[in-house]
Amino acid sequence: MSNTFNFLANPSRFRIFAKNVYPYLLVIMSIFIIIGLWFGLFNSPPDYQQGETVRIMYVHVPAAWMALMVYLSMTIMSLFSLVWRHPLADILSKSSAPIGAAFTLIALVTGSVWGKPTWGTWWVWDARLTSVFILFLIYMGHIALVKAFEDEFKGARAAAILTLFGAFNLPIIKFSVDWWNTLHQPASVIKLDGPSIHVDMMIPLILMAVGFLFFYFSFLLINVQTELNQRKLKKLFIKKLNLN
Amino acid sequence: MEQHFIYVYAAYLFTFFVLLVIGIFSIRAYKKANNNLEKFDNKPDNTIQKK
Repeated sequence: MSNTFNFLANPSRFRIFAKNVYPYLLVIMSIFIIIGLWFGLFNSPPDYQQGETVRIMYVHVPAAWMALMVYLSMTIMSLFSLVWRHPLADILSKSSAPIGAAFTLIALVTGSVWGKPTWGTWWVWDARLTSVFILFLIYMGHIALVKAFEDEFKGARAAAILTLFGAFNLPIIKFSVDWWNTLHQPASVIKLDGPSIHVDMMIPLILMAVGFLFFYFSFLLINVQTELNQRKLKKLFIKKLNLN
Repeated sequence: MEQHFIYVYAAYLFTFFVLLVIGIFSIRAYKKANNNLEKFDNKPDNTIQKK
């Protein structure tokens, strides 16, 4: 395991690895999402209280999980970047941010669309919704901060510090429904005494979550290759200018 | 019981629209960076495509 990690730590080797692996990840992602969609839309029961609107759960909940998971992985990468100055950590964090922001936006908007028929309102400033909205702002701040500096290393460093500070928001998001009285329902899948939703609803939920996870892995590898290629091109360009 | 299918369709359409947009942007950027790198050589008169 550590040998694999050391092997992939080299940017050139990682680029070759990413180039070979991402098409397979795209195929796996498509399979999971297509099957998940079929189960979610056509082969799962409506809720006894919410009716058909419960089907929004199969995109809303996996997107919210991914929003947290991507941010957690960015926090770990930021730590690697700041403490060990790992060459790939900045690139992985930078490449993850737009995907994490997209998942957070999906969680916010689909939650709002689900809230209208369920709660009778599009939005309330309760603890869960507000903390997820703050997560979205941190993602946007990270994207802006990376691009704000002419020196990409300074930008990456500033963004890594922001990410580490923002990580305090993760437990707030997770436990907000337990700590405060919120309109948002408490956790029904990831909890200590086991999931409390029916297996027929669990199947599409897990399928979509795995599909979204592979979406993240696929486009992370694509974005990392883009960044590595741009950096290589920049180096070649500077080398050429020096030769001239 | 009201079924509210319109909300379900709206949520799914929005989700896959966002995923599609981010996917297309990523692939376009990747192809552009690849092409720029392939076109680049060390001839002094060579130019790089604008981002």
